[in-house]
Formats: sequence, C-alpha cells, structure tokens
Amino acid sequence: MGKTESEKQTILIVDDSAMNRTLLADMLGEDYIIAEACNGLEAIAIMQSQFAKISLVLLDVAMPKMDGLEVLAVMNKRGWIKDLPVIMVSAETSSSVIDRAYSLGVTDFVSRPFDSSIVRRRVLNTLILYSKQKELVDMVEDQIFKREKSVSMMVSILSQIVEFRNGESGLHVLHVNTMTEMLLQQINRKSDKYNFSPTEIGEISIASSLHDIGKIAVPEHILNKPGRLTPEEFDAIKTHSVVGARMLEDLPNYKKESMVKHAYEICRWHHERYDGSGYPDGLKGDEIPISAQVVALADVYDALISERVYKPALTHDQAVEMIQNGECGAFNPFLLECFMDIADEIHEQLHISSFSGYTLREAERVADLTVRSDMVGKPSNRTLELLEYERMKFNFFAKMSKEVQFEFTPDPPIALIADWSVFKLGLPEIIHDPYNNQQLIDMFGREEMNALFTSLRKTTPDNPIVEMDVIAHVGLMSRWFHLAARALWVETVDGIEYGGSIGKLVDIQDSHERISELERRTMYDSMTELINHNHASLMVSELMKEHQDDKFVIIVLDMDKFKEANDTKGHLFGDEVLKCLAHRLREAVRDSDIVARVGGDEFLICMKTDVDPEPLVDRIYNSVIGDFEGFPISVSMGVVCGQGSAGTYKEFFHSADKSLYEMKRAGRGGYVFGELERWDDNDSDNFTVVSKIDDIEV
Amino acid sequence: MSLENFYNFIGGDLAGLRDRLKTDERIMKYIGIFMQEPTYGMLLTSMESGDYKEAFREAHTMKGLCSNMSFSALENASSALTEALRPAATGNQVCLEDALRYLEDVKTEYSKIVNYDI
Repeated sequence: MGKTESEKQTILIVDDSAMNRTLLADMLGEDYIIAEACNGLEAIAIMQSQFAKISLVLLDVAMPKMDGLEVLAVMNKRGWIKDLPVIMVSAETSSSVIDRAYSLGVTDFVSRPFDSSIVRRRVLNTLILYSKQKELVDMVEDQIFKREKSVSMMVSILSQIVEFRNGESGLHVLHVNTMTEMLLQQINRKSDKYNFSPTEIGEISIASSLHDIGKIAVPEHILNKPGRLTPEEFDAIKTHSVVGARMLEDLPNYKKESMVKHAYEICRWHHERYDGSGYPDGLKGDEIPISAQVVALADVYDALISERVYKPALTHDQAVEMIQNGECGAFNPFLLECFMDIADEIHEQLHISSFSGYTLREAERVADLTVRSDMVGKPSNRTLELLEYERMKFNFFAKMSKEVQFEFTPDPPIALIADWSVFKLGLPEIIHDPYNNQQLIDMFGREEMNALFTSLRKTTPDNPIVEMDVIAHVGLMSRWFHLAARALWVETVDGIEYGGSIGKLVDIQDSHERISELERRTMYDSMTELINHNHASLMVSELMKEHQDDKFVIIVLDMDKFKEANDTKGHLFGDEVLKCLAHRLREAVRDSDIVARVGGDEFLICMKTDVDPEPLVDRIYNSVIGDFEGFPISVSMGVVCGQGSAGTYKEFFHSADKSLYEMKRAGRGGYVFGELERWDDNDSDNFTVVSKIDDIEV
Repeated sequence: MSLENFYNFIGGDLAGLRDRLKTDERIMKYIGIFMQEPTYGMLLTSMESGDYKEAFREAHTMKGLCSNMSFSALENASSALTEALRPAATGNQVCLEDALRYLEDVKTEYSKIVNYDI
C-alpha cells in the first residue's frame, strides 16, 4: 500500500516463540510497525511505556512469566483494554480459556494454524472498527457540544430580553446561573441527600435562567420605577412568578421534559421563603423544591451586589451579612451553610463571569459531562497526543541528565529502568519483582533494598520522597550513587493506596571522592602523612573512654636542635628530616598505636599496652635516633603512663609535655617518665601555656 | 527438495499450508526456522528434569508451531502430550505413563522432520 513510516500503525506481537512472532510479522507485511514481546511481563512494560503508540495487540495465551490471561487482567485493571484492542492468537482450543479471554475484553480470536489472509483481515477489521468507534465518539461529543451550545444560547437570548425590559445589566441571569451550579455542586459534596447527577445540575442551572420570564407580563413603568412601589404596584410585580410558571405550563410541547419541570418550579417558587413568608403560595421548609430554594438564594445575593434603579450596589461582605442575618427572608439553614462554604469562590466567579466566559464554562461542563457519564477514564485522542509529547520531552531531559531513572509498579511488580549514566550499571530495561531480583541485591545489597522498600511505604502523600546514598557494585568497581525516590500514592475507593514509585540514581562518586579527600585533609598532616593533633586528641580520648581499665603510655617527643638542620641545610632538608623521623616513629610502633604530628618538630605517640613501659620506650627511643644524611637525629621524650580512666587526654598530654620540657632542660637526647597531673576543668589554660613555653628552642 | 515428497513422508497437509502461506518460498523459509527452533530441546529437558508445568507449555508451543507448519502427525502427537500434561499447568498430578508414551511419539515424528534427507 506504500504507507509512510508516520502513517503506519504499531502492532505489538506477544508470543514466547520467536518463530510465531516472525510468522505473524511476516503475514502482516510492510504496512505496520511491529513491536515484539516474548512474555506477558515484557508486554505490560511495553504497553506502559509506549501506550499511545500501539494500535493493536496480538496476544498468545501460554507464555512463561505471565500468561495471556494475566496480561488481560492487568489491562482491565488499568483500563487499557477499552482503548487498545487485543486479538488472541493461540493454539488453545479449551473453550473455558476462550470464554475467559472474551470476558476479559478481547476483540477477536485467531486460532492456529495461522492463515495469512485471515490474520491480515482480522487485524485490519479490528483496527477499522476501533477507529470507527473513535470517530463516532468524537462525532457524538461534537453533536452534544453543539446542541448544548444552542440550548444555552436560546435560553440566554430569552432571558436577555427579560432583563433588557427590566433595565438590568444583563449579567444577572449569568450570575444566577453560575451561582446555582456552584451551590448545587457544594450541596452534593456536603451531603448525600439530593445526589444531583451532572445532567440534573446542568438542567437546573440552565432552567434558573428563566426564573424571571414572567416579568414580560409586568408593565415596564412599574418594573423600572425608581422610587418606592405602592402596594398595588408591588402586587403587580409579584404576579411574575405565577405568570412565568403558567407560561411554561401552557407550553404545547416539552412540558414533560425534566428541564421544563425544573424551570416551572423555579419560576413559581423562587420568591418563597423557608419560614413560609414568601409568595405566591407561602410554601414552607422543604415544601419548596430545592431547585427553587437554590435559585432564590442566588437571586437575592446577586440583586444585593448589583445596582438597581431603586438601590446602589452593596459589597460582597455586606450582602453576605444581610443574608446571614435574615434581612432578605429566611433560607434553608443547610443551604446557607453551603453558601457560606463557597462564598469567597462565588464572589470571585461572579466577578469574572462574562458572556464569552459563559460559553466556555458551558463547553467545559458539557465536555466534563460527556466524559464523566459514559466514558469514565477514557482518554481522548488529544490527551494521548499530549501524553506522547510529554514522553518525548521527558526522554530528552532524561537522556541529558546522565542519571539512572526507574519506575516501579507493585501489581504486577515490575521496574522499568532507563540508564543514562556514563558508567553503565548494566541492568536490564525491565526487571520483574525487583525487590527480590538477585542482580539488584548483588549490586546494592539486601539491606539497602529492604530499606528502600520499607521507607517508601512509610512515606505519606504529603511527604513522599525518600533519599539515601548507596554504593553500587558493578563487577570489581563500586561507585557511590545518590538515590532519590518518590512514592506514588493513589486515591482509590478504599482510600489511599501505594501505587509504586519513581526515582533516580545520580552518580556522586566524584563529589564523594572530593569530600573524602577534604575529610582526609582535615585529619592528616600533609607533609608527614601522620594524623594531626586535633584528630589524635579525638582518637585518643575515644580510645581511653572505651578502655578505661587498660593501661596507656603517652609519649610527647621533640627533635633536638632541629633549627640547626633548617639553618644550615635549608628548609627543604628540614622537611626531609621531619619525614624521616615520622617514618621511623611509625615503624617503631604497632599499627594499632597512634602516632601524630603535634606541630613543628613535636610528635605524639599513644599506646595501649600491658607490658612494662620502660623497655618499650627505650626501644622506641633507640630506633628513632641516628644519622639522617649527615644530620644526627636526636630527640627528647616525655612519657606518662596511666589507666584510661586516670585522666583526660589533655591531662595526659600536658603531663607528658611537661616531662619533655624537663628532659630538654636536663640536656636533651633522652627520655624521662613523669607523673600524671590532674587539673580542674576550669584551669584548662595551662595546656596552651605549657605548649607555648615548649615552642621555644632552649 | 520436493515439498510434496517431504510432506508425504512426515505426514502433513501441504495443500492447506499453501493456501495459508501463499508461496513455497515462504514455506521453505519457515521449515528452515522450525529446524532451528529451541522448543523441542527445551521440552526434552523439562521432561527429563520432571518439570511438567514447563513441559506443558513447551508441548503447547510445539503444537502451535506444527499447526502453523501443517506438520499434522507431529501436531497430533504434541497435542496428545499437551493434554496429558495439562493437569500440571494447575499444579495437579499428571499420568506419567501416558505422558512418556506420547513423548515417544513426539520424538519419532520430530526426528522424521529434522532427519529428512534434503
């Protein structure tokens, strides 16, 4: 037939046997674009991601993972079956299976052996049938729209005539109409008592436009009299309710139409009051039809806020107050409640109501009505186009994002994965039951998967986002990812339900590395690569707290005559000497011992040990001293021993530092053991003082 | 090879097939594909390992493939095997004796097709 690619419709062939798929594709020929799925789960995933594109599904029954009937069940549950025709293709001859397939909404059944002309014919017929149906729906929508439009047009012309005679602005009818509709909707929301259908709301609103038609029969000079009316004139005006009702009653046709009935009630009784004080019949309470009660309230409110020959316009607030206080007669208390609920909205709506807006609102209402009444959940062609557009946009941004994105549906549990990252995770696009998928568990860890599972379900509709950092193990590589996921809470008849999640993984390895590097820099001395004093004090304090009963040896040591090395051989050499000493210190102790550079040429060693400290210290002393490239390294050491609970780190350090000072004064090149000195917390200044003294090379 | 001789030998309905697939060229192509098709091997494996639920599905697929190719004799044998295994689809016991007997028929008919000297 020579269709271009864009004219071709897409057919999804779902069959576990590749041979069958090829055969079917072959039979359908060049006129269609073919998508293939080898089991039910894959089919669901493809439908979910490309729904708007697919025009027809050819579905096998017996398949692994998820069979054809289960696919149909999911399609029913998600409302897809109404828009996407399915033809079963199967060797299945069991009539119960065939029956079940039909009851699940399949359009046709093609049994094996496949006959190429039959396959082509059935596919074409189904496609034509569906496009005809779509056309018909569009036509009906169009017709209803036109008809409703002419009805409201006629009604507004008629009421316009009445208002014109009345000297009113012309907006009064529109306002009453709008307000009536809003009040009826609010009544529906607040109570089950009336349960107005969308059609009924529409009819009553349109009928409300006719509430004053009886005024045609009232002389114009009375209607438009600026001053006070005489009782006779007032009686003349009062006749408009009965006159209007009679006009409708006398209609030769249509008087049995429900809209005309509503109009009759409204015309006759829209001046009745809830306490029986109104006219013409003095009806009381619920004797007054609800339609007339609603219009009466709307009529009063709009009259108050509008300018009339006999009165200026009042503000919204004044009008509300007067109605509330019963200054315009008594109204049904429930109706007043509804009015108060939406008073602000009414104020706003009436403000923007205009003739063009009116038609638009009507159109929306009709469209709403059409969609709501018989085609619940049926997306229009326009919606599908929009959906496709959104998907295109989404795909573009997704591609640019360099993220791994996922969607998860719980029933059936399927994850769709789109990997746009630079370092590919190598996950399949569709994962069945992801929370029990071995590849995912290996990659992220069982605990992390469980954590995600539970925390998503613990979220609320108001706060549905979960964020966490995870490590992904891919082969021998591991990379840090930031995971952000959002739970999708859906409203159902049974309340709010967990409907799955969407989320993304962002590669944060590089920034993570930068942060660890910064962390490292704050903990380590960059020249000697020993930890710095700050970090050492934290580590030692922690260690002592954990091992209060164990013995600790704290050594503070200082290089003798280090200044000479700097002065005679230069600072670069001085640095090398420090590095050498640091290296010797590290070598002289166990890995579990702490060695830190306190600052300048001063170092700290902390050991947790049970042995006699004397030979230990002696060994350390002897292994660090000695020649380094012609410079004799000599050190002075101050040592303090004690249990972890004996003092604070500061006290240990201070005491050892003090002993070191004594050693220096005694001639350097050796070690001395000192006593642990306790001090009061508020006396902590000593710490700095001692360090300062020591900084001076004696 | 002559399609007539081949279909005569293996017990198949060539006339019906020509009606459905239209050209001999297409028929030849799908006979070729059938020979490469993994279902038969999978069926044997499932039967050997006692996974009758899986075997049911594969026998079912085999039946469908044969039906498409008008391999009537193998289709009948696969169909009998499918029915013998059907209880396994819903987790029930199968009559192993029957199943194994039909499996032998399937093997016989299958080997006729793949061993036909072209």
